[in-house]
Order: sequence, then C-alpha cells, then structure tokens
Amino acid sequence: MGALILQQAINALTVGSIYALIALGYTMVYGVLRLINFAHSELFTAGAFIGLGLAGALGIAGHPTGGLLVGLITFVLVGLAGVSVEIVAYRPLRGTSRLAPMLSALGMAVVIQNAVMLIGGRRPMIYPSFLPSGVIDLYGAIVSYKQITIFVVAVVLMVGLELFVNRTNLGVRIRAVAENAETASLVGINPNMAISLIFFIGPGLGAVAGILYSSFYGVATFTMGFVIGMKAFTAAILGGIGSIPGAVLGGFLLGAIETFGTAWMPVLTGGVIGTEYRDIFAFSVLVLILLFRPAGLLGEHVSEETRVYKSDF
Amino acid sequence: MLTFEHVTKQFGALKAIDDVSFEVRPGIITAVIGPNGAGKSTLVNMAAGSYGVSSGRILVDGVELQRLPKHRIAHAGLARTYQNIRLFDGMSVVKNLEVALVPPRVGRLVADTFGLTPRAAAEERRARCHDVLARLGLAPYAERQAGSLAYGQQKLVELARAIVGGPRVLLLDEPAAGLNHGETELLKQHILALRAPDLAMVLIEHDMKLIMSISDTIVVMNRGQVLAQGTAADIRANIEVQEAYLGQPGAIKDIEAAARGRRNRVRIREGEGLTWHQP
Amino acid sequence: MTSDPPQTGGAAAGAQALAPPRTTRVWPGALAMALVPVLALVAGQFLPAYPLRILDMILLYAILGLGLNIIVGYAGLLDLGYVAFYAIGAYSWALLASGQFDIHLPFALVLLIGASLAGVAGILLGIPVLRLRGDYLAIVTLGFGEIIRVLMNNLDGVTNGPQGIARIDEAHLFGWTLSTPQDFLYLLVAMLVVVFLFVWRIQESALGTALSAVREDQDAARGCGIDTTRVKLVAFALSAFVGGGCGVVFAAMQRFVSPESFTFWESLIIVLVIVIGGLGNPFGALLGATLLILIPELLRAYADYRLLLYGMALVIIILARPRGIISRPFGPSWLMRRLGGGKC
Repeated sequence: MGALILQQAINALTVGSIYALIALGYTMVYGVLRLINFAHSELFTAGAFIGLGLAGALGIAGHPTGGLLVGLITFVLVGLAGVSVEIVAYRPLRGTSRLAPMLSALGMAVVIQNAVMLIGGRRPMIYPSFLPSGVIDLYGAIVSYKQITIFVVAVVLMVGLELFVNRTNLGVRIRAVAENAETASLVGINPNMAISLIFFIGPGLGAVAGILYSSFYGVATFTMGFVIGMKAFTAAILGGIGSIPGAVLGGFLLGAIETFGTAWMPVLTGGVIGTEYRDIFAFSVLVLILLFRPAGLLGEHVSEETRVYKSDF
Repeated sequence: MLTFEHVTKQFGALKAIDDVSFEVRPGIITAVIGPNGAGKSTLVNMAAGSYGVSSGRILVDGVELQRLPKHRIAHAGLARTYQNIRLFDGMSVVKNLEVALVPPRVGRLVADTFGLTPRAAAEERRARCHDVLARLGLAPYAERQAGSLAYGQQKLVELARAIVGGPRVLLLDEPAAGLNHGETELLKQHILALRAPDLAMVLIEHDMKLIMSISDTIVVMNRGQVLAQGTAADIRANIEVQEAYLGQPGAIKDIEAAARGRRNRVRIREGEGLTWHQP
Repeated sequence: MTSDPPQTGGAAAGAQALAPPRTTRVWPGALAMALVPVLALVAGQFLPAYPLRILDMILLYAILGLGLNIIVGYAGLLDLGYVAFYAIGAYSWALLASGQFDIHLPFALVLLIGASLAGVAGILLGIPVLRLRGDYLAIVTLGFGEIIRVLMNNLDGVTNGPQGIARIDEAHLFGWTLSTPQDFLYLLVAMLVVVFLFVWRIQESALGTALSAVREDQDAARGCGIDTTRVKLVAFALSAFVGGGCGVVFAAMQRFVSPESFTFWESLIIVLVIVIGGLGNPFGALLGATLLILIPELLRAYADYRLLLYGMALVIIILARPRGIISRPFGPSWLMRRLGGGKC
C-alpha cells in the first residue's frame, strides 16, 4: 500500500513537471496580455515533432547528451515560432476588442496543428527517448531515470526562469510590463520587447515539455497538444494565473489530483468511474476553481489598468 | 442623500481613505476637492462599487451600498461618470443611453425579447433617451456611433447616460478634465440645470474656477481624510486648505489669489497639523 | 452579403434625430426572409437528392451560426464548445426516438426537450464561468466540448460508445413524414426563418442592448445597472437552446449519431461561419455556411489541407477586419458604417 502510494506520488511528480512547464507559458502570456495563448498547446506539439526531426537529421536519437543539444535547438526554434505567433496574431490587434486576438490565435493554433500533421503525418510517431534508461527501486516503488531526468530538467528550467525574471534587468522589464504596460512604456521600457521575450520563453519551455513528454511515453501524435494544453491551462488557473510560482504549484497539484484521482476513483466508485475519465478530473478542477476561488491559489487581484487590449469582455 | 459613515479604505499598508464621514445632501452640488492622491477618486469608486470598503458604511437614502454588487448600486439610484470616458464606443449614442434604462429584472428582459411585454414600455424608454439628449444639445448625434464623437461631446453623452435613469445620487468624476474653456462653460450650464430637489450631486474636479462657481458646499480632502467642509467662501478663507494645495500649481492659483493679503499666513510643514477637522 | 436591400431597409429611419418609428423595422427583414422559403420551395422541386443534402447542411450550419452568434456576436464571448450543445440535441433524438431504450417520442416534443436540455446545460456551465472575465469561457467551453465527447465515447450503456446509435426513428411532424432531403429542406428553412426572427428580436430588444453593452465594456455596463452575469447567462442559454434544436434535426436527418460528428472541429467551423459571414448578419451566416460546406465538397481531393486553410482564413479575416466583423449588427448602424467607408 505504501509503495503504491509512493509510486503514484512519483508518477504525479513526472506528469506535474510537464504540466508546470507548459503552464508557465500560459501564465506568462496571460500575465502581460490578459489573454489565453491558444497556440501554446500546438507549439508544445510542434516542439515534440521538431525534436523528433532534429534527432533524425543529426542522427543522435536515444542519446541523453544529444538530447540536451536537441532540447536547446528546439527551444530556440519554437521560441521564434512563438514570437512570430505574437507578431502575426496578437500585435496587429492591440487596441481592438479582446475577442479578435483570441480568434486569430485560435486560427494560428489550427494552422500549426495542421502544419504538423501535414509534415509529420496523421499516424502516431514512435518517439526515440532522449532520456537515460534504467530504473531504481525506491522502497518498493519503481523510479525510472526518465522520470528523474524529467523532474530535474523541469526544476532547473523553473529555477532558471524564476532567477531570470527576478534577478536580471530583462526580467525586471517583463515584470514592469506585466504590472502595467502603459506606465512601463512611460519609463522607457518597450512593451513589445518584453512581450516578444515572453512569447519566446513560454513556447520554448513548452517545446522542451513536448520533448520530455513524448520521450517518456515513446509516442507523439499531432493532436496531443489539445488535451495537455487544456490541463496545463487548468494548472495555471489553479495556481493563480499570471503567477509564475502559481503555475509551478498548479502543475504539480494537478498532476497529483489527476494521478491519485484516476487511480482511486475506480476503487471508490466500484468501477463506475474508470480510468477513461482521466481527462474529466482536470476539467472538474477547472470548474471548481472558477466557482470557488477564481483567483487561484497564489493569484493576486489582477489590476484593471493592465490592459494592452482595450475593451473587456 | 449619499452618506459616508466612518469609511476607511486600505490598499495593503496604505490607508487611502481614513475614517471619512460626510453627507451629500439632495438639491445642492457638493464638490470634493483635494490634491492628487487625496482619495477623491477612491471615494467615488467605493461608492460606485468598483472598490470594496475596508470598514464603515456608505448609504444612499438609508440603503447600504458597500456590500451590494455594482449593478445593484446603480439600481439603488447611484449613477456616475468616469474620469476616463467609458462609453460603449461601438454603439450609437441613443443606445448608450438605453443601456441605463434596461429593465433590471432578467425575467422581464426575456419577456421583452419575445414580445410578451407591451411595446409601449420600450417606446417610452427610447423617447426618454431622446428627451435627455435634446436637453443636453446632443439630439443631432443620437444615431452616431459614440466612439466617433469629439471628446467634449463624449463627455456630455456620458453625463446624459448617467442622468437618463433618473438617479438620486450623481457622481461626476472630473467632468471638465480635458475640456476647453467654451466646453467647460457649457458643461457648467448643464450641471447647474441638473440641480433638482431630489438629486444629490457630487462633483470631483481640479478646475477650481468651476468648483468655486457652481458648488454649494465643498469638502476638502487630504491624505485620505476630510480636512474641511464648507461653502466656497469658507474654503477660500481656510488657510490650511491652502497649505494642502502647496505644490498643486493649477489649483493653488485660485485659492491663493483669494487668500492673498490675509495676515496670519502660517507655514505648516507637509504632513503636520493637517488632521484638523472642521465640524 | 453586402447588397441585400431588404435586410437593411429600415435603416434610413435611423438618420433622423428624434425617436424613429421602430415598429416598421422588423418587416423588411421578415419580407426578405420570406423570399428564402420561396427559393427553397423551387429548389426542393427541381434539385436531385445529393445537392439537396448539401443544401440541408448549409442551412443547418447557417442556423447554428445564428445561434452561436447570440453569444459570440452580441455578447462578445467566445464559445469554443458549441458542438457540445449540438451533440446534446442530437443524442436526445437518438435516445428518445430509437430502439436504444425502445422509447419513441414524437419529433416536436423531442425538439423541445433536446433544445431545453442544451439550454439547461448552458446555464449549468455558465454559472461558474460567466461571472468571471470573458476569456475563461473560451477555455471552459473548449473543455466542455471535449468532456461531452468523452462521455459519449465511454457511457457505452447509454450512448453505445464509439459505434454510435443507428436505426433512429423516422421523424414525423404534425402528420408530415420527414425522410427525404427535400422534407428536411422545408423544415430547415422554416427553422431558419424562426431563428432569424428570434435573433432579430434579441438585437432589437433591451436584451440586445444589454448584451452589446457587456461586449463593449463590462464594467461600465455594470455601472449602468446591467446584471452582466445574468444577461450573459441568458444569452448563453438561448444560444445553447438553438444549438440543441439543430442537433435534434441533425440526428433526425442522419438517423445515425456517433461521437465522431461532434469534435472540436465542428465548433471551429461554426465559429468560422459567423466570422466569414460577419457577425449578426443572417445572410452572412448563409454565405459563411455555403462557403464552408461547399468548398470541401468541391475540393475533396485536398481534404487534408482543409483545416489548414480554415485556420489561415480565420487569421486573415480577423486581421483584415478585427473590429468590423465583431461589431457589425444588422440594422441602421451597420449600414451607416458601410456607407461611411468603414472608419472603425
């Protein structure tokens, strides 16, 4: 029993790491633009497929050191794609209603997903693992090196992001723009620069998550971003959208809720609710959090002045 | 009548409003003045429900506002204009006004949609909007898109939208800001014409000339507290008010001109001795 | 879509300053809509079954567009799970008029039940979401659409899972058997007229005014006394109601339902119908539906590129007319803006 719970906790940390990495992208964009980046989940998928393509092209599939290189290149490529999404779908629509950029971003998401499908194919792709193989036995629970690597990579990236946002000049500018874009521009900070940076970092992190996710499960499909994106967004709301530590907390929390929920619900309900309802947990969490604590766990009151986009819904 | 009873507003460690009590009586125009950051706008936003109240009560004719949601505050008879114009830009001017007359009950709204309520009600609402527009000289713009009007006209449309519902309390948040001399004069005439026995008007303004010429009573605020209250003449005479305004070039001029020549001109260092409250 | 005089016929009245006579406004539009049944009657007599079937789908999507438009076009809220309401309606007919549970209710009743169930689902979904900022609605409806699909796939005992439900009853409406594409053409035309008049009423009534205010500036609307949460909830429920009704008709027409018909892409297509057609313009919805149904039929060989093109179309149209498309009511202001050279 103890080992089983430990095993589930480890699984929860693995899934949670990936949710958290993706949630960071949602929360950062939301923090600055107060908008959902619909293309984010598809950039996650694109990251996985670019990683796959690079591995083939460079001939380094299944090699952890190669994985580092692939991860780095993918980060940059998908980051640039994210920047272009912002330039195409968001920037021209500033000052209009908030519906317009959401629709154009949705269009971008559809375009990216279908581009991935046309290039990568409709069928699920066998994914080479970039992660070290092997397992260790931890008090009866089996921990794979893959899981450890995913967790470590995620934590390193999160700590790096936290340091970047809080300790560097650029990071301070991003926070200033998130706080109030107008005031920031008054003191000479170019909001476009900060916004571009956010659209670089967020999708970059998402792309790394894509590689980790596909490496872990050994498969990549062009539609996989849809549900994962939903869950990561839920994680961002759970933690408090706009908050970086919140996204991390939300990611791990959602990973735990989902893992334990999926494992125990069939037992508790006598098999009525089976594991096929896994995706419903995230959605229920989303609705419950919106119902009872819309600001999320670590969320602060979102100031009304921060409105790059003019009209509210 | 609008009543503030020991109202306090805390933003984190900052006390934006500190135990403020005063009454805004119907039939007259009450101006709230004070330097930037004195808490005037905070007060208006609390009354209108944009900010919560940390402690104390705000009442309209005995109805407590501070726990009501925004739309219920409007139903209680409080209407406002905004410092930065907030019209429904994409809608016509007359539609902007009609928003303020939408039936409060949702059931009624649905019945209305399916034609279950008499048509006359809608016609009457519309006629009322046109009536108010005509009163403010906006009739020619009734079908124009609100966002396409000139700034001064937009300010008037906002005023029209605020009064069309027949409020008992009207909050005017810097109505003259950004208006030129002629427009301010026109606005002044309109505000004076609005004075009615059952309407309590609150005017927040930086234009001291306008304030002094139309207010019946003036509340002076500084650092979240009421510093003084009285008629324009009382306030002119009040040295401490002057001091609070030091460093407020636009506003000081008028008071200083009025107060110039008085002999007992004391310098009070900023932050000291400003808690005195005139009963 | 730009030059239908009847639809904008009441517009001239708007230019005058004082209370224009409102009552006359509805009739030009109603007359224009009366033309559609006449055309449909002619088409129904002369066209063979295959094009009629396509025509049916076009009308169905036009009605769905009008329904979704209540929430997207008037209230400015993005609903990405509209297909869920459509699915609720479709499964209502499939379960209440088939051998699945051996229940065989009449079509008119199920039409009401299906639409109402969808409306209730809309209210239940709207309650947690609609009091918040509008963009949460997009993601929650997206999730809801997915959840409904998961349920249809997994509640095998009820929905028969991925196999779907076949051999659904033939629909009878007041003694009239609905079986051929021609029958459904007439039914759909009647529905289009009804839904159009319904949407028109919303636009012209205080509810429409309140919704527009919510779209333009929610906070200011609240300051004017609009209970924004409830107004949004009403709009959301009405929109869902129409979607549910369309679902019932769809199931009666296909006489087969399966979860595959209710993917996110259907929601996307309905969003595109109104984005292409221009929000709030009923002829626009017809045009949007025509393009989106007809083009894939003509370009079957390039089916793989269909969604890619849809995505691009969405981006390009929104970039070209970010505001025009969103705030385009049918009525005087719409006409005046068109005549005024599209300043906004």
